[in-house]
Amino acid sequence: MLTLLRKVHLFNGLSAEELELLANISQEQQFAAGDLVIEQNTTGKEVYIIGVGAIDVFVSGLDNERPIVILGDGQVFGEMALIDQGYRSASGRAGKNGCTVYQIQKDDFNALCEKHTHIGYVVMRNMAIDLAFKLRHRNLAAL
Amino acid sequence: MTNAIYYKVSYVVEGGTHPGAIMNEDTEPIVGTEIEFDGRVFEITDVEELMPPMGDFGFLHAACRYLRDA
Repeated sequence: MLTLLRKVHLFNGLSAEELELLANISQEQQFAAGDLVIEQNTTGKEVYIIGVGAIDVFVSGLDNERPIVILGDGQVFGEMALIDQGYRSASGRAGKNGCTVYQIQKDDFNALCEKHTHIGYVVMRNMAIDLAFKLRHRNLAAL
Repeated sequence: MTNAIYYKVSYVVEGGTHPGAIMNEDTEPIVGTEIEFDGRVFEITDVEELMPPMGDFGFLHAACRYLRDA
């Protein structure tokens, strides 16, 4: 688990002890190909880290679905649940080979950050970088 | 390109026929090599730095074109 967390950019800059604390509040889940991991326009208090496999991210309209991006190993999904109280902005479905994800509950994460503020600082800084990266990706993909 | 240990890569498919992918890589993507995602194989046609490296991570953009289904 620690080997995986070291490869997750969201946690880059944390010590081995801090990664262990995060591992302790993470729950492994496995999804078969095509399983819905997150549904758009629903509420959720979990963020997901993709351990193995991929998640197909898409936005649903009235009568169609628009793919947004494929997220692979080490990527974070549903992270806006850690920031706002809004509905999920997109759906995520396990990719063609299924996926293993690690789920972190918002309340557990916030409690950890209250006690270990360095974790909160590093994760929030990295989350801002991650969101900027995804925005830059979208800008290029839309060309 | 960087001294990063890991690379966070934005793969964008030429022609806008595919939404692309974001994946971590242990090595820097190389132009002319193949990459597989979404059950398809793509050829990398260009690699650029998307954001300056930070910590253990480099942030790259790789353009690619569809070759075949995996």
